[in-house]
Parts: sequence; structure tokens; C-alpha cells
Amino acid sequence: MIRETLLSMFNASLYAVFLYNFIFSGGLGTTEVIRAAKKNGGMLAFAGLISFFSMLTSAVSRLLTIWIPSFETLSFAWRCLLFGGILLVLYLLTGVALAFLKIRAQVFLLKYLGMAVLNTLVMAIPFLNFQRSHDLPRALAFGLGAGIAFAGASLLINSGMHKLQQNKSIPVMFTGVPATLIYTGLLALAFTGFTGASLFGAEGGI
Amino acid sequence: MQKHDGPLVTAKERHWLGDAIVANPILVQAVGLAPVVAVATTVRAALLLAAVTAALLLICEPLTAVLLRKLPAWLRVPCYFAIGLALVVPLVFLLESMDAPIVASMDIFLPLLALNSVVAVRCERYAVLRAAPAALRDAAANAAGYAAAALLIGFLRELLGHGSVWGRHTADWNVRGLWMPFGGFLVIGLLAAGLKLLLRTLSEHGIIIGAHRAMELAPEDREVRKEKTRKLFEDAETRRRVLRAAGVLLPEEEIPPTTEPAPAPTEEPPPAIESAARAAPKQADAVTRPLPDAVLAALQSLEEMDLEGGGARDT
Repeated sequence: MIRETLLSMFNASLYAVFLYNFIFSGGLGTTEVIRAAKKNGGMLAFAGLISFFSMLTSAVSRLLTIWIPSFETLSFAWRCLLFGGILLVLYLLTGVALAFLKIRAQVFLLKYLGMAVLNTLVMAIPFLNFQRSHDLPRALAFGLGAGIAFAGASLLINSGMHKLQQNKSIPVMFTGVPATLIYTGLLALAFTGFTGASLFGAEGGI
Repeated sequence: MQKHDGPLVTAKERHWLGDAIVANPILVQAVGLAPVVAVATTVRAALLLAAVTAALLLICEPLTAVLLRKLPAWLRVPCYFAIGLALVVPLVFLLESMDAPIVASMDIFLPLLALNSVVAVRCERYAVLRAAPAALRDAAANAAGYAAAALLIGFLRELLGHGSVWGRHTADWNVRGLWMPFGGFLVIGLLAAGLKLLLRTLSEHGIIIGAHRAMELAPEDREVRKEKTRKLFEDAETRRRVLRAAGVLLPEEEIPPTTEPAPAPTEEPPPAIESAARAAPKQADAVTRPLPDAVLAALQSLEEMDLEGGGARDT
């Protein structure tokens, strides 16, 4: 039983990292990834924050759907309100706790809390869990996968940006933001390959 | 690389619509990308995205300048999200009741419109330091810039990806790749390069000035420009003019310096500006005194942001 659960969690994480990479295949949290990749320090700590909040939001949202029997029948707008409300409450609780608990990382955490919690990636996880009818372990693994996907994307973009900056043969009009975006697009194209999508014609697809 | 040592031009002295192009939130600042990459595959979706973002910017930025600036930064960010939810959830209710097809096509990205990062970035980097009229002007410029870029991206992806415009069939090609996020990144990247080329050309001909952010100066050029700004700030009258034009401090507290040692400037401009502004008590004669390093660094950052069209430096 435990083995099956662990295997199922592993599958969900792998799915989130490779098969449907939230950043490259889903386009979620792209601004945050590029901003995190621009900073050399604190990138992984930031990804850790994203993982933690993705998992927390997943767990709370999943428990809520279990506790409220009529949740499955709620309209999409009500789900938006509930999932958004959960994210807001979790953010405020964490912020208040951090403001009162004088821990060493307080300044770092409070500075990046908004960017780490209130972004499209963390917000999308409860909706994706609901759509895929994930149970609690799979929902948690999905949240963890989001964090790993974020960390991987940040590292890939960060390393690419360094290479692009060193490359003097890039035309001036492509340097900076255009080069970063095109590079990210090419990475996204590579990850789209994992989804098995067809790039041309109406047939095929995810 | 060619140096661009044009005259000091503050955001106030340039037409507000210029910021929409020179500091375009999508193509120059690279913020608010997620909804554009994922959702703006048709003109209709791009229009909805642009309308929601414009409404959020026009509400949040003046509100930040007037009220929210009094809150700590970590408490301001959820306020933007709460305002976003208050705007988007009724919209979802409305669209659902109308059984609009866009609800199905946008799917989970519809509620994510409440979390557009362009709102938080503009509020935290600009509105929190400015008076309400300047914040409103910035909101209008960014809303216009965001809408123009999103609509153009939506148009290109619909035309080339679906072979249609506004849902009407125009051509037989069907490049599915352009509907996908990677197609969005590539289209935005190419448009950003095109805008950069356009701005460089216009700037070299003296048609526009202050497009330094968009043209992304090399580090050595930035240093030259910083040094030039530092020298200009040594003059009390210039300093006063820049302070007023930037609208960073309200008229009654426009003099920021302090006799206490100021904290060292941080890498990012906004916290430095914020800490400098907090650390600075009012002193009537302070305009004639040398500015502490942190305040000078903050003003330099501000002036650079203005010179660069209100764009944030590290985005």
C-alpha cells in the first residue's frame, strides 16, 4: 500500500517535471522564473519556497474538497473564489507568522514571499489537481513537482543567460530580453516534445 | 556599442504614451508574461487579458500611491491579489452565466488573470514611491503598452496558428506550435527584437529620447551614464528639479537627506529607495548639503528608471 502510494506520488512528480512541465509546457510562472534566473543567488531557496507553498496549497485545497461534499458540484467561479481565498489566507498566515517570529531568514522570506506565493504557478496547482481528481498524496507530489520544475527552469535559463551574455556574435537587437525569450522558447519547444504534441495541423496534440 | 548620452529627460517631461512603447511591460520589461504566453492565442482572449490587466493597473497603482504605501511591502502584495480576485471572480460568474465559449477556451487561465505580475511590479517599483497623478499616468501607459503588445501577439498567433482573425477563417495554414507556450515565447522574443531595432533607429535619428532601457546599454555604458547622473546631482538646483519631476516625495517632504549614516544601497533599486526615504527626516536646509550615498544611489536609480521610461532595471 505504502509502496503503491509512493510510486503514484513519484509518477505525479515526474509528470509535473517532464511530461507536462508547468513552466515550459504550461507557460505558468514564466515572469517569476526569468526574474529568479537573473539573480545568481537565492534561486534554489526561492524554488524551495515555491515547492513548499505549492504543496501546502495543494494539501489544503484537496482537504477542502474532501470536507465540503458539495464542492464537486460547485461552479467554476465558486472554485476560483475558494482556491484564490485559500491562497490569500495561507499567504497572510505565513506573512504574520514571519513578521512576529524573529528568525534569521526573516528579511529574505518577507521580501520574496509575495513573488513566491502569489504567482500563476502556485495558483494553478489546486485547479490542476481538481481537474485530474488527484488524491492527497498525488496532490502533494504535484505541488513538489511544480517546485522542482521551477528550480530546473531557473537553472536552465540562468545558465543560458550567462552563455548568451558571453556570446559577442549575437546581433545587438537580439541581446538581452529578446535573446532570453527566444532561448526560453527553444527550451519550451524541447519540453513540448515530451508531451507528444503535434506542431503542425489540427490533428494530434496533448 | 554606441553610447547614448542624451539629455536628462524625466518621465514627467515625456508624453505618457511614449512609456507604453519605450518601457513596454511585455516586450521591454518582460513582466506579465505567463498569461500572454499561455492565453493570448487569439485576439478575443488577448482583448480580455488586456481589459482585465488595464482595469487592475488603473485601480491598483493610484490606490497604492494614496493608501497602500503606508503598509509594509509584504502586506501590499496580497492587496493587489485581493483586488484582482474581486475583479476576476464576478467576471467569471458573468461569463459563466452567459455560457461564453471563452470560459472553456481559457479554462484555468481565466482566474489566473487576477495574478498578473505586471500589477505587482509596477505598484512596488513605481506607484509606491509616487503621488497619485504620476501613478495613474504610469498605470495608463503600462495598460496601453500591455494591451498593444498582447493584442499584437494574439493577432499574430491567431493568424499564423489558426489561420483566422477574430474567429473568421482567413487562410488554410494551421501551425499548432504557435498556440503553445513555446510559440508564445518565440513570438514575444521576435517582437521584442523588432521593437529594440525600431527604438534604436528612432533614437539615433533623435526622434525619441530616453529609450536607454529598451536599448539595453552595455555595462560600461551604464557606468558612464551613472557617473554623469552623479555629477549632475551635485548641483543643488538639478537635484531639486529631478526630485520634483520624479514626484518621489510629496511636496511638503521633498527634502530627503539625513545627518545619520545611511544604510548601504542594495542591489535592487526599490528597496534602496524605500530605505533611503524612510531613513530621511525632513530638513529644510538639507538641499544644500551633500546627499548620503544611499539617497544618492536611490535617486540615481529613480532617475535611471525615468530615463529608461519608467522601466524596472532588473526585470
